[in-house]
Amino acid sequence: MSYKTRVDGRALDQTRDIEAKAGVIGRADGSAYFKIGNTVAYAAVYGPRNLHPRFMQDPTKGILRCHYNMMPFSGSGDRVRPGPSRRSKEISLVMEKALLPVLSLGDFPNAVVDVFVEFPQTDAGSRCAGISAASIALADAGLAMKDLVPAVSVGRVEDKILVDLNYAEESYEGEVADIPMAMIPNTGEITLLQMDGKVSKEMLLDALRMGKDALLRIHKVQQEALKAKYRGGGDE
Amino acid sequence: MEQGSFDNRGPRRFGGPRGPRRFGGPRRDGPGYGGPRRDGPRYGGPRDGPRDGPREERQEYPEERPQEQPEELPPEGPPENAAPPLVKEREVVVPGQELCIGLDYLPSSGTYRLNDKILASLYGLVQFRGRLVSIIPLSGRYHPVQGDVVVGKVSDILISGWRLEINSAYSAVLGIVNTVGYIRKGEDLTRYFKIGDYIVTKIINVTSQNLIDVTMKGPGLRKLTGGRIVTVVPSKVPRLIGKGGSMVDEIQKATQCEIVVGQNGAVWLQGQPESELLAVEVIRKIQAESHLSGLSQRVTDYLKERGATPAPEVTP
Repeated sequence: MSYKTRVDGRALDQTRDIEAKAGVIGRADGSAYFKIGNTVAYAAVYGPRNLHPRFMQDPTKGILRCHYNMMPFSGSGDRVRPGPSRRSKEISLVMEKALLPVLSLGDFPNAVVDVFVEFPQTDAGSRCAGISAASIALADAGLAMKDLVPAVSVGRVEDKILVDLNYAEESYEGEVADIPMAMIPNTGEITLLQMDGKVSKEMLLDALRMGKDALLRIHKVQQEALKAKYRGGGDE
Repeated sequence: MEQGSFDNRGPRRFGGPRGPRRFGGPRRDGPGYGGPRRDGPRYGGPRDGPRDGPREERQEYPEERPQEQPEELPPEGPPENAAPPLVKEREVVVPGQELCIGLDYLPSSGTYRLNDKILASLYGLVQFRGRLVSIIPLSGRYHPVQGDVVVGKVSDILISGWRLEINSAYSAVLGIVNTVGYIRKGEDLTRYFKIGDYIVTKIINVTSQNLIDVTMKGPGLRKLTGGRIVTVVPSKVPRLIGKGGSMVDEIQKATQCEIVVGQNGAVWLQGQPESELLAVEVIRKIQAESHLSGLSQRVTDYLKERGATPAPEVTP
């Protein structure tokens, strides 16, 4: 049996519906909401602020700390045990690495920028939604950034290359590869590239090409989310 | 909203001694004493009139921070045949957005050059000054600059001074040598400022590692007693102050509140309870609408609508 049409009727290169909003958490320095299909991410940025414990301080530049957390009720029915897990720690780390290249924290020695990303609901692609949300939140916090960082997952199911796999596709029983990727659109640099599964070189390159187009569309949504925060009410 | 607690808003309005002096309250000339109350605007700047010779006007409120632009830059605009910028003046832009193409414009604060393009690195409003393109941020913490008057909250007592939180990534230190009056060595510093007190101070030094030294030596620098604190985004402080202090003066007159605006976005105000609330509302309104034009007119209208006493017309 081969995979013909996508389970939710999307085109192969089509992402799920995206909603994004900046400034959703009042007390945070910057915050954002990013929903892609049934995956929902809230990101809140605090800082730059004083960093403790002190041994983590870097006197040459500020550090970025990401916290990825799926809420207990966010999964597919099973309760997600609260607290850091091996998986969430790893994803926190790759999110940090995906976002750091656009930030310039040299002005903030010994300080930290904390990014908390919470998922009330997940349906695959959560680290990508988290990165997309976090980069809106970092811009909303007034930090100097080279660009926003959109992220999406690409992959293959049987012989088809897909963009933005949902859980049903990701867990399809057959030949599947899931490749989350993030990019700095201005320079085309890839800041996140992971893979789970098997894929040939040709398929991977095709998938990345398709992913880039999707990333540029997500980038537009991110920009719009920030601009919408200060729209209306005046003569602009 | 952060707010000064109400338990310290007694009838006593001086920043001076709390109890009878024989119980060891701070000395009249100690650092906790901000001098006798004077009328007139207090916004961190000099409160006295000209004392020795003509004082440079409005030195307490530079309308814009002295920018780090080198003076030899050509003041004139871009050449006639320059490609027009991709964005309008005062347009909201986001990091990574293209502002100009070509070498006719120069990147200033909040922007950077990538090949032949100028891109935004901050979320804010575009500003063109001659050939320079810069961005006024819409958010972000306070960035300490030497000479700024800031309102700080005492967060710790150190061996020879106090640590102040100033809504920045870094805390400031007020050393006892930078206070007014004499404090003996080994004296209990909480007699002057306790944790949670608000103080108007001036930044005297910022090091490369962002260690911030502040002083209380200077006109208008004092401890704040009573009243309440409102915080605004530091990048919007210039709009709250207005040209040469016009906006804050208008709110002070209309609400009969005394207002101190710190460059760090901490605003202290004191007056009748209802007028304090009105002043807070107006300050919030200014913060929310500072990116739109015609702000001062809308604030005047709003104050009138809310029944505040209109500011008397000043005839030159």
